[in-house]
Amino acid sequence: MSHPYADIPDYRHWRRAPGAADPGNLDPVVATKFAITPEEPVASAGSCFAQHVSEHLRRCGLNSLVTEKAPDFVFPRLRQQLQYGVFTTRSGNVYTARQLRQLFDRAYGRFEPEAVAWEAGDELVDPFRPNVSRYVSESELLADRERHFAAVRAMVETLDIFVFTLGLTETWADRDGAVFPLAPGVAGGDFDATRHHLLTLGVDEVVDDMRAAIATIRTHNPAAKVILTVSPVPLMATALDRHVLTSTTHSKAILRVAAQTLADADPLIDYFPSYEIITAPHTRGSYYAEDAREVTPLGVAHVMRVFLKHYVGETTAETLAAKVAKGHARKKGGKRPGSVESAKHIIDAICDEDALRDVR
Amino acid sequence: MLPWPARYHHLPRFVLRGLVPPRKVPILIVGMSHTNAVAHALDHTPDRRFGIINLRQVKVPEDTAEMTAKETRASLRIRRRPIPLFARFAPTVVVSMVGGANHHMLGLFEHAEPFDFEMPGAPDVLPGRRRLTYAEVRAVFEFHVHNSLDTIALLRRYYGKPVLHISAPPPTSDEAHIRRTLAPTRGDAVARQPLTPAPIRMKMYLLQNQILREHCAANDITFVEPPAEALDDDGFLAEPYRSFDPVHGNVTYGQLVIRDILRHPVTVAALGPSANEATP
Repeated sequence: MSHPYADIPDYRHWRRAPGAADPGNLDPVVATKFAITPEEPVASAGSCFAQHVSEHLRRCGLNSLVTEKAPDFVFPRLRQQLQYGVFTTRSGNVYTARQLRQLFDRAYGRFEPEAVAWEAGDELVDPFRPNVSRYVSESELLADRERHFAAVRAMVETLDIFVFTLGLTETWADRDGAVFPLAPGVAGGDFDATRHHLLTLGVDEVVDDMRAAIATIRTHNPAAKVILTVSPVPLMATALDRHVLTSTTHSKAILRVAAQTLADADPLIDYFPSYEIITAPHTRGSYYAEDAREVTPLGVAHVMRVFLKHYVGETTAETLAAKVAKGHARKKGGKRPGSVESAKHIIDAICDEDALRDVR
Repeated sequence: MLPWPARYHHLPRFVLRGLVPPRKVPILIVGMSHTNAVAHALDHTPDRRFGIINLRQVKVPEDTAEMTAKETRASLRIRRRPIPLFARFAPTVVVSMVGGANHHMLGLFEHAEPFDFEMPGAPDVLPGRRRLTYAEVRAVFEFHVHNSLDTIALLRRYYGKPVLHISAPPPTSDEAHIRRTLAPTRGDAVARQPLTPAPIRMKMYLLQNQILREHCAANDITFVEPPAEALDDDGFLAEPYRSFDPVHGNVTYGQLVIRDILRHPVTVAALGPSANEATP
């Protein structure tokens, strides 16, 4: 008997596709539209799940682009805490497509929001990245923001591949339309019901915003390729009067449809199913931490294993990993002149010798 | 300086208490190299009320080929966990001179990427340098001084007595003095290294003191500013008080510190009105 499903490949059949009995082998990627070579600069931005992607790309030896570099003065182990290298720029989490679009518009001088700085205790925060840093004055904030915008422009103009993780559809906006990553009052500023309003973005709006953001990239960088993912991390809270779980599924459904719409219409935009790997019934929820929200390292590792397999190739990925390991071994030892370690060595010696010195 | 033989360091506190009863010391100064200015001043004008523990006397292995392996292990242990040492003394007032050189370590020499930053209330920054945020510079300092902060807090928690923390002397603005004093011991190459401009070095000193001041306030410790007469008009260490290196105060500076300790209301309250009277 013949029917349309008779000769379909295993991946199109739920029972035959690997993963149900062996979740570690779940691989929902059939083909990618392009490959990533180790030389191609890969930029990343998006919601909190994108942080994992960015970190793994770097660890795997890919050319993870960082255009907003930490000052030499900041010790390497403090850099991530100060949000350097978490994403390509020190953007903080970019949760919505609207936020990404406006970030590019602001960086290229096409949009100047009314909100400049929010008060947070005795300090100030940037309303558009309130968890990135605190500032002692508006001039300090503006100087740091200019540096950030320069880094955003450098990212747009030098990336080969842009990995963006769509996170949310609910967002709070100012009266001039500027959207914030966090509601005013959460990490600074004050909520003003006459000024701030909730936006719930639909599929068309997400698609429009992403197309506008990608158009900015393509204006400066016509060959740029884009990989879209949807964050599997549920909403922390919803501003709508309904259960946070139904808001989560609604939001993720919108983002998933928008990503597919964008990918189906453009040969240089690909969708990577990290959302599916984490949320699949195959894994029986085992990729979520105890709070049922955070993704476990095991889940992230699975996502990145599949990502590297399809975009980089298993052999290249293994070679790169070996190179990274070798590089780490080579980095050990040595005090660079002019570095803090070198200065500490000199001052330590002075302090020890002071005990032996005669008095004046 | 108070003697504390290394052979006792490995012993637990309860054994030490039985073996060597805690020695009563009216004013116990605990610190690192900045205690030397005070120690030298006390060499000139002895005062038996003072006892000084210089934690830097505990050498790290690479500096002391003559130390036995056992002594080295004991010394490192006491530097990291000084309670067995503290247990040997029973002070009335504790004076911390712990740390204080971090602003030199982080800022004496110009960095590969010259920078400046804005202090709260002082918006001026030098042109042509990377402008760091106060938050970034502060995070680096907090990371760098956390061991010192722990030791200072430990003094208050362990002894339960009034604790004064004496600010380290400020930097000198005189680059020639820095180079002149670096050259004989650290070599010409080090002495020729570019130095961070004095106004930025001063900001780093003020930031260090701000962190210490906040830490002291949170731990019921009294922060004591450097002697006013040892500073020039811009707050730098004045010429008569500089040591033979770019970091420390000299014996005259040490004498001013002793005077300030004895005159401080905390000391007077703890020791009584006689605190101000020298007892050679």
